Amino acid sequence: MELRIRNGHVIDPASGVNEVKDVLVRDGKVVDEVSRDAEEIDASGKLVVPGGVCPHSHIAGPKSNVGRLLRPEDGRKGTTSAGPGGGGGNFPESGFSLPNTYAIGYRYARMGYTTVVEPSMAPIEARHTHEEFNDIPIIDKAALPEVGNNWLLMRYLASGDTERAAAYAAWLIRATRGYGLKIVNPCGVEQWSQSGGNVMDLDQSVEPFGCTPRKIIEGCLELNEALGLPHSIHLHANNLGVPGNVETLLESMELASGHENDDRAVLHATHVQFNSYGGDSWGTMSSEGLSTAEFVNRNPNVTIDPAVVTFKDTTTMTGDAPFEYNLQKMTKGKYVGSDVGLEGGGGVVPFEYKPDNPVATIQWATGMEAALGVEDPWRVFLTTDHPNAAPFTDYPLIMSWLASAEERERIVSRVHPVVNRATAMGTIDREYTLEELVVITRSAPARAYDFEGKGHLGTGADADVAIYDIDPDDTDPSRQHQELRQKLQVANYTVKAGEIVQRDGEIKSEPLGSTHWVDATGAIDGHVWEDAMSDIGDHFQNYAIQLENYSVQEQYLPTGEVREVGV
Amino acid sequence: MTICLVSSVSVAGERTGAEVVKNVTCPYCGLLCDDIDVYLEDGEISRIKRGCGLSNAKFVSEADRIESPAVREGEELHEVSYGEAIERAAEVLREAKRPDCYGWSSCSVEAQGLGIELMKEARGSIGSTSAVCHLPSVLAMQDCGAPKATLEQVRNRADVVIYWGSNPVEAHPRHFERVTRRADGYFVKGKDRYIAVVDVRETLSAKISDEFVKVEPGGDYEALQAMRSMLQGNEIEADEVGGVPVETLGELLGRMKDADFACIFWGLGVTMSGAKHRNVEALTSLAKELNDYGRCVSVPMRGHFNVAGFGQVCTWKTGFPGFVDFTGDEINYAPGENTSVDLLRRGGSDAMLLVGSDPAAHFPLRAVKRLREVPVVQVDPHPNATTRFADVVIPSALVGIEAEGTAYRMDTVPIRLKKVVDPPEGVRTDERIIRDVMGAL
Amino acid sequence: MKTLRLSLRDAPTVEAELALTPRSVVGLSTEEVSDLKVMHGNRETGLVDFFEISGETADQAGDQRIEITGDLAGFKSVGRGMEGGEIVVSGDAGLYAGAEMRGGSLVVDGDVSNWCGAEKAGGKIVVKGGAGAYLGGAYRGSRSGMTSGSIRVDGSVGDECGAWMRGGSIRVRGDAGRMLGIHMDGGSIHVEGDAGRYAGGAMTGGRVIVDGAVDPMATFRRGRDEDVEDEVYQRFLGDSAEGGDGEIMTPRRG
Repeated sequence: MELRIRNGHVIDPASGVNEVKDVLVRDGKVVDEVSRDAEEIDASGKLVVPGGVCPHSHIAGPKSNVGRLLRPEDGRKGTTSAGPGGGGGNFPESGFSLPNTYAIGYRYARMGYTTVVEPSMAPIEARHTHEEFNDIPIIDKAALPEVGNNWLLMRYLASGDTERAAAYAAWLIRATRGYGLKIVNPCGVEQWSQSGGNVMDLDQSVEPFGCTPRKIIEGCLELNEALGLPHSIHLHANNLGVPGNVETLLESMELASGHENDDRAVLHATHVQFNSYGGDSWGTMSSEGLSTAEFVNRNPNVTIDPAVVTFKDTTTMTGDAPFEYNLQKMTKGKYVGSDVGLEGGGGVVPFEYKPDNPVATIQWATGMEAALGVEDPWRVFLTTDHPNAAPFTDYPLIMSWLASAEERERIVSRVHPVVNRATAMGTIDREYTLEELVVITRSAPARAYDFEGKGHLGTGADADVAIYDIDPDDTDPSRQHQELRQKLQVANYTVKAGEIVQRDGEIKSEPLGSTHWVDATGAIDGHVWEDAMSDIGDHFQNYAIQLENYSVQEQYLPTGEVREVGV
Repeated sequence: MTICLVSSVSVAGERTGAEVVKNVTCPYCGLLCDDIDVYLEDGEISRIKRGCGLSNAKFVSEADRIESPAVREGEELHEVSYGEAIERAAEVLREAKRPDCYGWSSCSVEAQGLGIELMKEARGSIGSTSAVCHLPSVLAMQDCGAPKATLEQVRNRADVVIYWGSNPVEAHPRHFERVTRRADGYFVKGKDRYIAVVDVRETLSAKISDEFVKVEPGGDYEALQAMRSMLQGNEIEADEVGGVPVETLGELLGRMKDADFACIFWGLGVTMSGAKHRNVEALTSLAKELNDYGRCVSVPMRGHFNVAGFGQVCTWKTGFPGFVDFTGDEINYAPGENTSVDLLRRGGSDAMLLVGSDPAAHFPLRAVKRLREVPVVQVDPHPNATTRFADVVIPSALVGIEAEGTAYRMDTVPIRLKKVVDPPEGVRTDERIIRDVMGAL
Repeated sequence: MKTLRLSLRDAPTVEAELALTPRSVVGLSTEEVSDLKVMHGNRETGLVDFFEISGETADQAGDQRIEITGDLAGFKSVGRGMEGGEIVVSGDAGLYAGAEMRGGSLVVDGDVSNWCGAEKAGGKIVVKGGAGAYLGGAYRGSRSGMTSGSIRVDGSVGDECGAWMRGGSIRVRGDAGRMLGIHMDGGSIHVEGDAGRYAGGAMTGGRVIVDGAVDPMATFRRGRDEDVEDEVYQRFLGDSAEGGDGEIMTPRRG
C-alpha cells in the first residue's frame, strides 16, 4: 500500500526538517518515491509530524486493571458507543482516568500518538501486561519491568556483583518481554513489605539484603550500559510525594555522573514533579521544579519527564507501595495495596487535584517549572505519568500551556494564592515553539528509547504520522493556545505503519501495533550466565510459581518485535 | 469427594515407557498449582504426581463427556454437526432482544475475551459464576478497596494467617502446603506461623490450625466492625459480638496487630452469608487499618480455577469486571440488574448462552423456571442438569488438559495452562466454538 | 401545567428503557413524542410501540405533567434524571425510577424496583407501594448516594436503603431490610416499622430513626435521649469502626 501526504508543513526535528514538502509511504515505511497510484492526502496548510511517542503512561497490567476494578464510577464517566456516530471503533469506550484497553488505543490515536511505553511492569505479572497490550489497538507498545526492590538483584548489587546482576537483569527483561529497567523507590518497597516503613535516604540499608538505594541506582547504571540496553535506566526516585524531596532526587540524578553513552542519556528521572518539592512540611512546601530543570541543564547525561497536573479527578497508581498507603491516609477514600512478593509492590488511590488547594497548586507549578526550565527540549518529554497527575488525554492542554505565557498567567490568577509565594510560575516567560513541542512529544522520547523507526520521518522511518489542522506559518501558539489545544486534541489524520487509522476523531482501522522488547542475554559471558542461572534456580524456591512457568511465552507476543543487543 | 489432607496423593512407582509432562498447571481450584507432573501412556493420562485429590479426579477421571453437538427437537436432543449447532446458536443470539451469557470460570482468558466480544456483537449481557461466589468481594473492592498481595508475599513473610469463612483443606487442599503451614518462607518457617480459622463450624481446616474462633451465622460483619473499632481504641460494651466473646476478638486482633506480617484469606463463608459484600468490606478495611501497626494483607480464596481471569479480562476490555450489558449505546455495568439470576427472575433476558456452567443446579427455582422457558445454548465438556432442557448443546475441550490458555490465580497472578493430551476426536476448544458462533452471527 | 397522557397498550417482552422526562417532551408535537426512542432490549423502538399517547406538551419542563397508566415494572429508568415537572405513574415502575433526579416530582402508585432515587440530588419521590434495594442509594463504586430532596415510601423497602446517603430525607411507612443507612454520611431516614440487621453499619454521619424494632450493633453506644415528634427517643451513636458520628434513634420503651 502506498500513500502520498501532499504539501503539508512537515516538522521533523530529528531530520532537521521544518518546511512544506510531501511525505511518501510504502509498505508501512517512509520512502523516497511512490507510484502514481498512491493514495493521497492533501495536507496543504496543515502540520505533518511523526506519530507521538509517549514515554511513560500506565496503560496496561495489574495496576491499571485494579484501578478500573476499584473505580466503576470513573468507568461510567467516559462511556461512548462503538461504531459510526460513536467513536467509530469496534468496541465501546469507557473510563476517564482509567480507560478500557480499546479506549486507550483509540484516544491516543485521536491525538496523533502511535507509540506508548508502560513504565511499570511487575515481573511475575508480566503476562497480564502483555495480555492487555494485545487488546490495545493501533499503538505500538513496550514495557519496563520493575527491579528496584527485587531480592536477587538487591543481593547482587549489595555485594557489588554487577556481572551476575547484569545476567539476571538480562534474563528478567527477556522473561518478561520487557524493554529496559525501571527502578521504583529502590529498597523502600521492600522495607514497606517488611515492616510498613520506608527508606528515607540513599544510604539507608534494607536488611537482610544489606542493600541501599545508592547501590541499586549505581549498580543499575553500570549494568545498563554493560548490557548496552537501548533505554537508559528509568528512575522513580525515593521519597516521592514528600515536601523537601528534591534533595533526594538531585542526589540520585548526581549518580549518573561518571556514566556515559554517546547516543542517549544514562538516567531518566521520571515524573519529577512528584519528586521536586522544597520545604519540610505541607505548610512550607514549595516548588523546586526549576532546581530540577537546572540540574538537567548542567548534566547532559540525564533526561526527565515532568508529569504535569491539570486539576482533574484522576487516579494515582504506582509501584511505590508505601507512598500509596500514606496517600490514602490523607484522602480517607478508596485504596488498593498490591504487594508483589520478592519483587516489589504498588497501590492505587483516587485523587482529585483541586485548583483551590495549595498543595495541588504547588504540584501544578512544579511540573510546569520542570518542563519550562529545561533549556534543551531533547531532554524533557511530555507526560502526565498517566493517570497519576492527569489522564494522557490532557497532553494537548499542557502543550497549550507550555506554548502560552498569557494562558499560564490566567491560570496563576485562578489557582490558590500560594502560587505566588511557593512557586516561580509568575517569573517564567518562556514559550515553547511548535517545533519544540514536536521534540518533547515525539523526537526526544523516541531517541531516549532508541526506537529507531519512531520520532522522525526520514527515509526508512516507520510511517507513523500525525496531521493536524494547524498551519505553522499562520499560527501564533502563544495567542491561539485554545485553538492549538483543540486541534492537537483531534488530529485530522493519524497514520500508523502506513495505514490511516483515524480521521477527525473517528477510528478508521484498528490494527494491532507491535510490542517492542529487548533480548540482551547475548551480552552475557557463558560462565556468568551459568552462575546466575543457578542462583535464579535457588531464588525460585521462594516463589509459588515454577521457574519453568514464569517466563512470558511466545503466545503472548503475536506482534512482538525483539531487539537483540550485545550479540 | 476424596479429601486429601495437605499432602499430595500417593501414586504408583515409576513405570518405564511412560511419557511425563512436568510443571503442568492444575485446572481445578483458584490456587492453580503449576508443579504437577502428568504421566501419559498411549496418549492418555495414566496418573499425576503432586496433585491433590481434587486435581487427581480432574486429570485422571472418567467423568461423562458430551459426545456430540446436538439440537433439541421437541423433547429430544438430536446429534448434529458442529456447523449446524453453531448456526443454531447464532440464530438464538440473533433473534433475542436481550441475550445473556453466563459461566466462564472454567475457561481460558482467551476464550473469555472472545465471549465478551461475542456478546458485544450480539448486543447482550455477560457475567461469570462469580455471581454465586466472590461477586460480593468485587462489590466491596469497588466501595472501599483492599490491601492485596501475591501468594509469594504471604509465603515468605506471614507470621499470622487467618482463614476467615474459608476451608482450604477441603476446597484448596494444597494451600497449607504451598502457602502457609507447611511452606517454609524466607522470613518465616511454616510451622512458626500462627494460623487461626474463623468460621461458623469447626471445619477440618480449623481442626489442624492453632486456633478456631466460632462465629454465629451472619455474625461476621458485627464481629469485624467491632475489631475495627477496638483497633481504634474504642471499648466494646457487649460481652459477645456476632457470637464471639469480645475478649476472643480482642486477642485475635492483638495477634494481628503484633504480627510482622498478617494475612487474612477469606472465602464463601464471608461472601455468601449475612451482610455479604459488607462483610468483605469490613474484613479488607480491618486488614488495611492494621498496616498502621505492622503489615497486613488480604486475599480471596477464589474457587474455580479461572473465575478470577474472567474478572480481569472483562475489566480491561470493558472497564468493568463482568455483569456488563451491551444492549444500549453504552456499556452498562450493573450487578444486581445484569446478573443472570436477577435477569431471569425479572424476566429480563430472553435467551441464554451458558459456557461451562450449570445454572439448573445452582440457581433458585424461580430463575430456573424462566431459564426453561427461554432458548438455551450450552457449551460444556460435561453434561449436567441444564443439559436436560438446553436447546443447543456444544461439547468443548477441557482447557488445561486438552487445550492451552491463560488462567489467573486467586491472587491474580496469571499462569499458563498447558495442553497435555488431545481432546476426544473432533471436539473443539471453547475459543474455536465462540469464534465460530461470532462468525455465524 | 400541561398534561401528557400515556396509556400502556403493549408491555415489553424484555425490559425496556424509558428515557422519558418532562424536559424530553417540552415543545414536541404528539407525533414527535410518539417517535421518542425506547430501547426494548437491544432493539430501538418508539414510545408509540408501547403506549397510546394523548394530551399536550408544555413550553418548559416545570410546566409539564406526564401521566402514565399501566404496569411499568418492565420499564427501567422512569423519571430518571428528571429536573422539573411531574410524572405520575398509576401502577408499578421498574429499576432506577427517579434515580439521578434533580427536581420536580415523581409519584408511583404501585411498587418500584431497585435503585429508586439513587444518587438523587433534588426533587420529590412518592411511592405508594413498596421499594426494592438501594432506595436513595449509590451506584456501584460510587460513594455518594442521594444528596438532597425527599423520598416517601408507603410500603416496605429492601436492603441498603439510603446507602452512602449524604443529604435529603427518606421516610418509610413500612419496614426496612438489612443494612439500613449503610455508609450514610448525612440527611435523615425515618422508618416507621422495623429495621433489619446491620442498621447503620459503617455510618459516618446523618440520622436514622426507627419507630419499630431495631438492634443497633455493638459498635453503637448510647447517647442522650431526645424528643422526636413528641416522643422520647433513645439515641445510639456509631458506627465507631468509622468514627462514630452517625445516629440511630428509636423510641424508649417500657
